[in-house]
Amino acid sequence: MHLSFDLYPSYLRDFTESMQATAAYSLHYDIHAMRNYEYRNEGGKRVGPFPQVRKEGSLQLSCQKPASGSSIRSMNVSHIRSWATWTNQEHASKQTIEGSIDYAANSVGSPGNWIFSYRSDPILPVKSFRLNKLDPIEHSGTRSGDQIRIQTGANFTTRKYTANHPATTLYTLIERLHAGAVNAGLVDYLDDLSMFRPGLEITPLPKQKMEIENRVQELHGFALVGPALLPLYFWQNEHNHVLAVIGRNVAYTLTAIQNEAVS
Amino acid sequence: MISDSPANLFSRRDFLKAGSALSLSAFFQQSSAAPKGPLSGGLHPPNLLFLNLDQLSHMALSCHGNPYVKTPHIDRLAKRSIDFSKSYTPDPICCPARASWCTGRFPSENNVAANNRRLRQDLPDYGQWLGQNGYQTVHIGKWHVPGRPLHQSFQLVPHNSHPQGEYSDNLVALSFEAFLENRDRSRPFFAQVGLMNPHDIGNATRTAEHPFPFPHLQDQLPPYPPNFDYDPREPEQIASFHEGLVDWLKPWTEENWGHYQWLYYRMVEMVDINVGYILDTLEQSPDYENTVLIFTSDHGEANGYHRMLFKDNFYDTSSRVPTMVSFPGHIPEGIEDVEHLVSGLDFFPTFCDYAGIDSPSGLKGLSLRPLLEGDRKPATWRRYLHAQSKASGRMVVDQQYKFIRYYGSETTQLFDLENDPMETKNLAFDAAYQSICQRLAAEIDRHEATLDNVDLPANLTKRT
Repeated sequence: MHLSFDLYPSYLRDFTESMQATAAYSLHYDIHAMRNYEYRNEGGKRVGPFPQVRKEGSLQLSCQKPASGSSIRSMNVSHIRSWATWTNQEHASKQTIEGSIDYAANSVGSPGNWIFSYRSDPILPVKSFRLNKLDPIEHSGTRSGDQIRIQTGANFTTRKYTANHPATTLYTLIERLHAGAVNAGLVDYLDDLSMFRPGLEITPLPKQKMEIENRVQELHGFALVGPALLPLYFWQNEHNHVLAVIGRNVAYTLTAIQNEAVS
Repeated sequence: MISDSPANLFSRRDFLKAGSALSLSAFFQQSSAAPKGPLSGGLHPPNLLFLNLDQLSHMALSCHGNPYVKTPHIDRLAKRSIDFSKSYTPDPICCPARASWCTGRFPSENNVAANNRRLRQDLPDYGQWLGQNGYQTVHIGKWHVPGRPLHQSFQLVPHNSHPQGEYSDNLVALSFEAFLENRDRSRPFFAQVGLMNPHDIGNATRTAEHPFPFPHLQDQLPPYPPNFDYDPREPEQIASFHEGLVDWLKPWTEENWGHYQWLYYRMVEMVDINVGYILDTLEQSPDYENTVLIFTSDHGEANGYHRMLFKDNFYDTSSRVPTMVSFPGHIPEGIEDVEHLVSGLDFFPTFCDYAGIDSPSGLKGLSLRPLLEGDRKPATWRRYLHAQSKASGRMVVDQQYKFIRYYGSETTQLFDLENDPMETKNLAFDAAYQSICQRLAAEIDRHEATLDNVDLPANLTKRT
C-alpha cells in the first residue's frame, strides 16, 4: 500500500462513468484533515497513536465548456476551509477563497488571468472563542510569458514572480488530470493562487490496486514534489477522475461530478 | 473594515469574568495611562509585529549554515535584522513557551508548566497590556495558551487556527494581508501572527517509516546527524522518554532517518514561503518604516540529532531558536549577534520599551532594545540564561557551558558549547568539571529563589 493511503482511503468514492470533456462540468471535493495523533491512557498504559481525521472544508471546481478551437479554458473555484480551534470542538471559523481563472489548455493548466477574493468568517457561537469577521481582500493576477504579477486590492501590494517552468495551480492541475493531459516535468506552483512555490516536479506514481466501495480498481496518478512543499499525491481511476489529492495532513476526496448536458 | 465594535474589545467585565482570583486593582496600578511619547525623530509609537513559527530549530535555516534546506525569505529577513545566535526558548514545548512569551514569566510562575495547564489569571499578557496602552491588538493563527481565551487578550481575532500548517499557514499569511489592507490606521498595531509549520513533523513518523517514495531524489536525503551517537547519561526524565523512543525507532534505517529529516526541511521551506508573503506584504505597506518585527519560534525540533525526535528537552536542537529583530532605519541590518544570551521572555519588555510604556512588574526578561540600537553595548546584560522544561527541569547557559538539572534526578548534564556544540559529551561525570557544575547549580538555586512560583503538583515538579 502506498504511504499516501495511510490515513484517508475510507473517504474515497467510486466513479464509474466517463466524463463529457466537451461540456461544462463541476467537481466537488471534501477536505479531510489530520489533527495531531491522539494517545490514550488505558489501564495506566499510554496507547496510540490514533489518527484524528476530521472533515474540515470543501473544494468545488466549476469548469466551463471550452470554446470551440480555443486553447484557453475557464473555471470558477470555491475553496472553503472550516475548522475547529481545538480538535473536538465545533468549527470556529472558516476561510474562503472564491476565484475565477482563465488558463491554458496545456499539460499543467497554466493560469493566464485570474481574480479571487479571500475572507475569514467566524462561525458562532463557539465556546471560549469569539472571532471577528475579516473583510475580503481581492487579488487579480496575470501571467505574461514567464512573468507573473499579482495585485492585492486597490492599495499597496504588487507581487511579481518569474516562472522558470510552466506555472500551475491545484485547481487547474486537477482539471488537466481529468482531461488526461498531464505529463511529467518541472512546474512552478501557485499555491492557493497566491504563494509562489517554484521548481517543483510532477512525477508519475506507481500503479496501485485498491478496493473502493467494493470494487477493486487500479489507480494511477502523479505526485507533485520538490522544495517548499510536502508531497501531494494525485490518484486517478481508469476514467482519469482525480479521486483524491492527498498530502500528509490533508486530503481532497472527490464526492461528486456534475456533467452539464452537451448543448 | 474589520469589525472592532466595543463588544469585541477587552472590557472590564470580561476581565472580571476571567477569574475571581484576579487582582484587578494591581493590574491597573501597574499599567501606564498612555504611551510615554514619540520616538526620537518625531515618530509615533511603532507598530509591533510578532511573527512566530512552531518547532523551528536555530540550525534549520540556510542562513545558519544548514545545507539541506533553502529558506530564502527568512534569510532575507536575517539580512535586514539583528539575528541573535544565542537565543533560547523559555521552555521547549508549545504551551509553556507561548505562555512565557505572552506573560514574560517563567512557566513555574505562570502555571503553564506543561502543555494544556491553564494560565494564572492574575498575570496580564502582552495583548492586554498593549491594548490598554493605545495599541490596536490583533491575533492571527496559532495561540495555544490555555486558560486565556483570545478575545480576553486581543481586540481583533479574525483568524484563530490550530490545525496543521500544511493546509492553514497560507491562510494565516492571507489573513495578515487582509488585516493590513483593512486596518484602522489611527492607532499603531500589535499583531501576533502564529504560523504552524514546521510543527507538522509531529505527524510524519508513519510516513518516514516507509521507504522514501522518490528514488530519483534519494541523494537529497540527509545522512545521520553528526551527533546521532549520543551520550546516554541523561537525567531520568529525559532518559525514560529517550530510551523508549530509541527502542521504538530501532527498525529505522538510515533512509528512514533521512526521510524524516527531509520532510522536516520541506516543512521549514513551506513556511518560509509564508514568511516571505508576510514580509512582502509588510514591505509594500505604508506601515513598513514604522514597524518593529520580532521573528522567532516557540521551540525547536530534535530532527534525529541525539537519535531523538520532537522536542521537550534542553538539547540545542529543541531549545535554541532563531530570534531576529528588525526596525528599518533604527536597527542595523545584517548583524549576527553571537555574544548576548537572549530569551523568549525578553519579547514582552521589548514591546513595552518600543511602545514607550512601562512593563508590568515582575517580568523576568530584559528589553532587547539596548542590544539593538546605539553602540549595542549595554552596561549590563545577563551572564546567565535560564530555561525550564517538564516542570522539573532547569537549564542554565553561560558564554561557554550549558548545565541541566531535573528535580528528583541525580543525573545532571554539562556541555561545553564552545568546544562541543553538538553536545556529545556529558562533562558532569568528569571530575575536572565539578567546580563548573557546582557554580552553575548554585546559579540555578540563586535564580530559583527570585521566582514567584505557583504551587505545581508534586508529580510534575518532582520536588520534595
